[in-house]
Amino acid sequence: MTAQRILIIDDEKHLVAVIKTCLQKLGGWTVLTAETGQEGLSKANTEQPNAILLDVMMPDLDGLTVLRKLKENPITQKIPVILLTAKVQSNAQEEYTSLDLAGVLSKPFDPLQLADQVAKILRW
Amino acid sequence: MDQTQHPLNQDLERRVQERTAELRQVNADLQQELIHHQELEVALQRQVAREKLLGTIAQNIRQSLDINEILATAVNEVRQVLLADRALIFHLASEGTGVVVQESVSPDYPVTAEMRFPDEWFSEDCYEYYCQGNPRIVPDIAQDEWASCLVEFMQSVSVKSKIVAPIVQHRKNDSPFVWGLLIVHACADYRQWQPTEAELLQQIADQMAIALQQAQLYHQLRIEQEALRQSEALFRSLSESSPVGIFRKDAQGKCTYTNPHCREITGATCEEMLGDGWQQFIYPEDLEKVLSQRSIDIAEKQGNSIELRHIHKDGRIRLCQVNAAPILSATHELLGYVGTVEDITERRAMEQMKNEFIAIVSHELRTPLASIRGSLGLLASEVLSDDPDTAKHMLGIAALETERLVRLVTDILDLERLESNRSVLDKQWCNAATLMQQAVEILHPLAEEDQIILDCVQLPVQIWVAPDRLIQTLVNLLSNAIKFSSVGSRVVLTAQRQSNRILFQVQDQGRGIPPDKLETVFGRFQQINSSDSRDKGGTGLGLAICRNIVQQHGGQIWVESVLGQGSTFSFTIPIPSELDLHDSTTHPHY
Repeated sequence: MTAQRILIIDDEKHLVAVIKTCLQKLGGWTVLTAETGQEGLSKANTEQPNAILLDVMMPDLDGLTVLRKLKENPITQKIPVILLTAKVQSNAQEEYTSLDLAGVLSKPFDPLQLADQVAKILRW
Repeated sequence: MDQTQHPLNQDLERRVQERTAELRQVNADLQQELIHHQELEVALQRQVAREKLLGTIAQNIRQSLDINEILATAVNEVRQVLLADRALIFHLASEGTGVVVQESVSPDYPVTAEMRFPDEWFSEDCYEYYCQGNPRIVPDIAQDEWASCLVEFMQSVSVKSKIVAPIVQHRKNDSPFVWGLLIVHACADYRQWQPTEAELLQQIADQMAIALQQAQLYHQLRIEQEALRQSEALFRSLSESSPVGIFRKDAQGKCTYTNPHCREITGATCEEMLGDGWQQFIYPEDLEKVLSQRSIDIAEKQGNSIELRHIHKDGRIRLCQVNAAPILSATHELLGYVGTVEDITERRAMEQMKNEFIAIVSHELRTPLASIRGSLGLLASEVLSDDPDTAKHMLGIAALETERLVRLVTDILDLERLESNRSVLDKQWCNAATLMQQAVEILHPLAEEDQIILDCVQLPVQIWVAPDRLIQTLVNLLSNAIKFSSVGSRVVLTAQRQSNRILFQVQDQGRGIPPDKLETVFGRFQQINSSDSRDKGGTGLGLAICRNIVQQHGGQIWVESVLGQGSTFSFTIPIPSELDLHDSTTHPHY
């Protein structure tokens, strides 16, 4: 069985590096990264990862627009998406329930738990 | 013939005599009758004259509603009519003091006006007698049994005889009391006052009592009216100058009043708002809500508190908080409503801005925190023990993101201080050239590192600024210019004097700013690209801080830019007039 491939779409380079390390070291997965929403869409299309970790706040295309486009594209619409958010409001979770999401993770996160949380959401 | 004629003559003679006597008698009777008639007529005329006189006096007295004028008229008229040497009014004040409040006196006799009698006392009989409205003739004051204590005083003011007529008023419970006495004195002789004269005096005193009562009522009414007018003026001014809209509606919800502030909100006059007029100034969607709520409120006799949008005549929409309270009668009937309208458009916009700012700040703070927590968490565990390169990378990330967090917190606090005006600028005279030099020196290492040519054309002119803040502004603009310039390009700082201000400019040959961002770059967290804050070491607050500092100096800040060719950031610092300077030096800032 080949390793799971997961795509991170986030404009925060440092954070992407940290998440990548967590998922590689503790999840044993292959991690792909994209710095912009646009790049993320195209990588999702070409690489067809097993899951996508998507940041909400991005400068070019925000996370929700990226999500919509992913779900509109027949090639990517089946890929489970986990949203990364830095929102503090307690209703943030509710806000996302109507969306076609596998799950929501909030920043900052416990790096040692991250891979487990992702695995749990994705039932890996 | 003589004999025969004689008895005839005699008879005739007798008859003539008899007839003459008869006529005399008739004549005498007639005379008598005439005299009697004349006497009657005189008496009648006197009576008429007195009535007429009384009428005139009464009219004169009652013409006025001014107490002093009534009293003065009375004493003058009375002295004239009764040919008295002195006429006076003696007022019995409630605390038992008697005062001569008015007097008309012949120049030959002493003046008693304004004399006070601290312990004025009447025997019970006497007071009772006066209370019933009876006048009293005292033919000889030395023989006055009811005022033996006054004899000496009376003699000292030359009084020989007098008439006293009480001025009787009634309390609320209708019991009579003696307000005072109307008195006439005879000083020249022991005048035999006639009962008709006493009667006349009493009638005048009675008229005075009525006039006084009317005057008192009128006076009371005037005081009450004035108090009412003042109270009305007070409440009107409260409503007219109130900083919130105030309205009144009747029990059917029809508007009966709006204050001037309502006009500020809607642009409509009070007249236009009356009745159902107010409805046309409410946003249609909200009006439905208001009207359905109104029928419930009226039925329940309850108040309400709703938010609605008013449409101003000029088309602007104002978000308003409207509170209405029911006015209920003693029997719990709904009389109408009184309410307030408060324009909360700006407040709501501020709240929204604040919420958005907090959301952004929390995001901005959480992002570096996520990197720090993540990298340090990994380092603290055993995960990276066999991968020193990744461990080093993680440590580097933790350090950089910590710096970013520190800058962010510093800038947020700085901006907050500036915006809340808690940091009052400590202005002083400074040489612009020196400040420019200091800013350039601070940035030399960065310019060298990035291989940017940093030029400065100094202007040696005195400016009235907070030096630290001006340097901070220049450093912010220069470091931005350096960060967004490519290797080998030039950044120039210049200053020039314009009519009443100094213009500072920072010019670069960098990547430029898109036209739609020229305004927003001065906002908070409005970087053109959010990766700028990570890559270029900015926080997204630098230009917001610059704008705040410049505005607090009374200047303006703006940017002109051509994409791909460079940007010029400009700001002005006004040169204070003599007057401004005087003000700011004599009033220290706290």
